[in-house]
Amino acid sequence: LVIKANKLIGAVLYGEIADGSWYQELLEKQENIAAMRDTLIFGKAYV
Amino acid sequence: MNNLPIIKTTCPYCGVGCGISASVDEKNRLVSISGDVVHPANFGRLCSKGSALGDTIELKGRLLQPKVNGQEVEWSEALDKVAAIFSKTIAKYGPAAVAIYGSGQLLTEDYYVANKLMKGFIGSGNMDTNSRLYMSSSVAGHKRAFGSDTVPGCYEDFEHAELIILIGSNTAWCHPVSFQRIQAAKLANPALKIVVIDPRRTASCEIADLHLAVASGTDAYLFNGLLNFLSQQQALNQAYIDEHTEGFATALASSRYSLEQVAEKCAISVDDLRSFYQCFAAHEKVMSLYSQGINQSSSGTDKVNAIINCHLATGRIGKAGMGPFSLTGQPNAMGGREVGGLSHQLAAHMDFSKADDIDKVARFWGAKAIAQKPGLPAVDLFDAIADGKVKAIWIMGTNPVVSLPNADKVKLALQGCEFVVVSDCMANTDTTALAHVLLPAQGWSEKDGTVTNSERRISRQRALLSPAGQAKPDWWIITQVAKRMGFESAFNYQSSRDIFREHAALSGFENNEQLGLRDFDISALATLTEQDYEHLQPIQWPVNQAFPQGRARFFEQGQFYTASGKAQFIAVEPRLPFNAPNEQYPLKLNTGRIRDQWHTMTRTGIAPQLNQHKPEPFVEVHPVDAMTYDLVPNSLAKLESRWGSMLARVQITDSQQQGNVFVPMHWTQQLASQGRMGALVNPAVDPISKQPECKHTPVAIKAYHPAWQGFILSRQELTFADVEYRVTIKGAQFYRYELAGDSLVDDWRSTMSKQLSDINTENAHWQEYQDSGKGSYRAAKLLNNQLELVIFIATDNNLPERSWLTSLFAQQVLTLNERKALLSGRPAQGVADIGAIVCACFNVGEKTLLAAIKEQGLKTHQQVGACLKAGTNCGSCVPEIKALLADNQSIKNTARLN
Repeated sequence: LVIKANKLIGAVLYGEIADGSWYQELLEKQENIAAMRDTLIFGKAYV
Repeated sequence: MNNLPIIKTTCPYCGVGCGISASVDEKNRLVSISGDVVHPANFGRLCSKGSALGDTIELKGRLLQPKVNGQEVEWSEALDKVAAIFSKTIAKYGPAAVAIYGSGQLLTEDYYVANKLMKGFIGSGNMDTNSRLYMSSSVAGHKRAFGSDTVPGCYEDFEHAELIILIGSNTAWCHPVSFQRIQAAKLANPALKIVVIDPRRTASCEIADLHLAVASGTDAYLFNGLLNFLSQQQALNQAYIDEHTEGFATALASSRYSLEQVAEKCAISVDDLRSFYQCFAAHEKVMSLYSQGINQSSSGTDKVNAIINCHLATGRIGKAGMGPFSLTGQPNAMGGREVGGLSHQLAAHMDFSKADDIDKVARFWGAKAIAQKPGLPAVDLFDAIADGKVKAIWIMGTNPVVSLPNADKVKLALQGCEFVVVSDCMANTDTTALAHVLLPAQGWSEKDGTVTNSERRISRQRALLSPAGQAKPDWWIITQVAKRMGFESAFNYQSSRDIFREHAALSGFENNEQLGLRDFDISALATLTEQDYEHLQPIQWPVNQAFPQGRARFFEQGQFYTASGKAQFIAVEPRLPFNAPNEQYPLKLNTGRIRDQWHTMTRTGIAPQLNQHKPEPFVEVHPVDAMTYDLVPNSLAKLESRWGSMLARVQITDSQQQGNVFVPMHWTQQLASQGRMGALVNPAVDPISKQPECKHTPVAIKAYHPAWQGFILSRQELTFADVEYRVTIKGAQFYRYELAGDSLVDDWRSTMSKQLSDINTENAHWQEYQDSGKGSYRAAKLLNNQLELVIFIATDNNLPERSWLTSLFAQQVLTLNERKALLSGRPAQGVADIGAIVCACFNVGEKTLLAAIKEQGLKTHQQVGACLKAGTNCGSCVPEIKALLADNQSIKNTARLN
């Protein structure tokens, strides 16, 4: 995951891709992810 | 297990002195513990600590071989060395240049010979004990009032009492089995009233009808006021006062405090105070149970006497269900007092204040060089070491670098001392680290002798297992040194029974009306055979001609051990704690025990189940103080006093009074790099008992903001360079390290691999997580799919709960989901519950859909899409969503029909 100023600006997924659309959504919305940053990479089920 | 021998013994922790039935598997060094149902101290009950004793007897961490300057040596070499240096030091500087510092962990027989060696044959009074820190105010108070150190009542009184007052005692945690007995008594007799007097709202308040949260250190005002109230209400027992006591008028004169004055001093309401006083006045059978909140004070002796005064004035002493009752801290604090283990005592309840007593003991022992005056009490003793006046010290079974006040000074004193000998059962304590000679002592489960509990009951502590390594009984070690110092004939014992018999004989020696009567007399036990001693049943002293089966209570008919035979009222002028808070150190620090640990955790810290309740050193802070000092729950705080500092985890609770903080007394440097509370505690002592004021030190507190915080869980024990905050916690299948540091680390990966280079990484799989922007690092090591190690580092305190991760160490293999979740630190939210995936685009499962449909009353797939996004991308799952909507509808209709 590539993060800039607590916003997701890029993601590369390999193998386990179930959360792809969720990352896409976060990326498009430019949502501030500070609160979920510590578990962001583990996918939606960890937020 | 059925054929294993059952051995009866006594618990080595608090002064309740519970009997234990141990089933012993010697071959596998396993002991299964249960309460002894016939022991009068506990009737089968045991607390969490006692129940876990079987988990504390492992050989790991034990001191197994004598050591001189770090080198393992044979016993003879170590003993020769101790004897030679003690003899040389005495020859050069005199007997006052050497000292023994013992412990309430020693058995009576060990204590007896240590005391005999120092006071009788070396000829110095410098034998003191850690009981000085716990009991000496009670001893001094008893002595002033009764002329003897006598606990007048017994545990059975709990069942007869109408009012039980717990004063400065968190009995629920510190004497749990006595607390349970009181609780049971209240259940059986709901009329039994319980009053707790304590600045803190402790677990003991659960059964209290009234809790007086008095201001720290104001107890003497409270009991002086009570004496005055009793007098005003004509609730005195004038006949008892006239017949059996002296000094009432002066004691009353110094107690003239009105209800309002007392309430103001104690910072409690007049109504609460009045109801306590009325309750005391109204009930004949009153017990005042007190402990360290009274004793550990610069006016502890006066506080003890203020309490005793009220019992003497009402004649409520020596009869069933009444009396002042000191709850002792250690398993054998009482035994130590009986043999004269405190530096002002001589032996068998005789002390240096009477020339006759010195003469008696000298003749009994055949000790020409017997000491003529008291030696140094604990705090003064370690000051004398720091000053170079005491040059050789022998510490037995205690950890003064942790437990004494101003403990950093104690550490420096021992570092600078010419010769430090430590006898202990554990290899690595904060004190053994400073020893020139280490002597491996037998621990509980190996040693054999007697102990005395709070109610004067002597019980056998028996060996369950063969000794660890070269470990020897303390009495053997002491007598071997004594013999090498030239005192062969006076220390020629073959067993602990030989010593016990001599101790019993001394207690009866010239102990009669003509030559002076003493309370402590167990002369009927002086002729025990080996078999009698082996089978000795728990018995309350005295055990003599008059009381061959022991005696439950003293003083019903007066007969005190003073010159006049009358009890002495003591006029008490209440004093506040010695060091008052000021601008720089505005808070009052209180210290004490927690439920599941014992003293410096050298044994309880080994039992994983005892490390769960309170795993880290903590500080309890009132919510308003937390706000004032900017402290948040679970963060770290630095406490500072004039004497030292410590780091602790913040717990915010209104059970503390505003302006007061509490820290546990247990953590050592071995277990917590900056968790020793002794470093903070002021060295103020009571002028009479010399007991330190551990319950009151002015301190400052501030938030500690480390550069990083984290934890490591590891199946193997780890060694790594210490950091600013490090706490080691032993778990069931893992070691837990709580960490924090001041210096930022750029590359955690290489730092950690250097730090943990000794752990085997062959065939291991690693997971790593790094957020360089935030400074977080996490890693996990798996071996054959079993969890070996996890590391979590963060620059904030946003770390996962340890419970889920620690639970994974119990598993043989991790599941795929667990592996995936591992470095998040917690199980996926609802992973198991989302059900079969319906919408693959947004990963929405059937159970999630059904729950939303039901809870939010969704009727169309568009509503579902708006709510969960399901079906809004490719749309291929819309039919399934519609089917679920239809199913839900039909369920509703069916429900309506029914």
